[in-house]
Amino acid sequence: MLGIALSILAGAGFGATAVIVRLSVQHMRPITVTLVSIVAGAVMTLAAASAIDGRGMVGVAAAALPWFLAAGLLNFPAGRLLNFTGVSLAGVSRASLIVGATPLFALVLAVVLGGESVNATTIAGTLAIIGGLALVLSQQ
Amino acid sequence: MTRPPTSAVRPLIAPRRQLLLGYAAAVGAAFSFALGALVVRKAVTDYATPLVAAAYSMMFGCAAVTLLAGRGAVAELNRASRVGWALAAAAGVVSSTAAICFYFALSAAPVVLVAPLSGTSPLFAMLFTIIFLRRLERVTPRMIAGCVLVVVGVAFIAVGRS
Repeated sequence: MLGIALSILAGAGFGATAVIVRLSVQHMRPITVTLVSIVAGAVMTLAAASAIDGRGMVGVAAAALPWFLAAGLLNFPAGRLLNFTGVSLAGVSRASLIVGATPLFALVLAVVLGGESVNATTIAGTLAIIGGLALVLSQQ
Repeated sequence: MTRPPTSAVRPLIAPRRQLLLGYAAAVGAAFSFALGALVVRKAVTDYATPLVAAAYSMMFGCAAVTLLAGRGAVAELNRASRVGWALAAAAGVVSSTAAICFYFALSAAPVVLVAPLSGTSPLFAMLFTIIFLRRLERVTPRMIAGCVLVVVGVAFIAVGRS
């Protein structure tokens, strides 16, 4: 039950973020909104990680740092900045729908890079996502 | 949620080029997040807990965005209103709270349940758009139908890959 509640809260939080960003870009450029949001988020995440897993924070292996660096670059200067730019240019309802289709992109990467095989369920999901995106993006 | 001052509100009547650039940026974001998820999976499998990995990757991301934003952002922040600051900071806090909820959900429930439920974010975005952005964006029944299809598709992919 806790897992379900937290999952729904996560979905609501990600949805709310797009709406707040749409309001923010009325005042600042997307890159500046990205900067302020990442500083605020980093302070909060650092505080939470230090409080919950302080030993893990100081005991990180040097070999892990390149992975954290790669994750940071892909998720923030790339992912978040492009997401906020998309919200600014195309609007919340369109941009958040494309970004919400990330599992489809993950599936494509898993098939192409990881050799994962597809099945009837994933094909049905892919068709549903493509159909949904076509419906929304073809709207004038 | 506080609305920005009326004078600052620009209706979203996007010219075709602007719309296409927005789509391209969103596709780029989705691709980056998907690739980022592969890297994060490796980091949390081999090296650290999800929260520690998130904290470190955010610090690296923060440094990179600061370098990218440069002096222009500093000048813009000096001119920005309190509302602008508050909204941008709120975006970061809400986004990080959602990410932390997601990580803890994964430790409390199977991914086959967590992924589809957290994948409902476009539905929430559309609902909040209808409530809070009525003056900025128009949501049509066709867009809601498309959104439901995408969310169902995400659930199918999560179940199919589990």
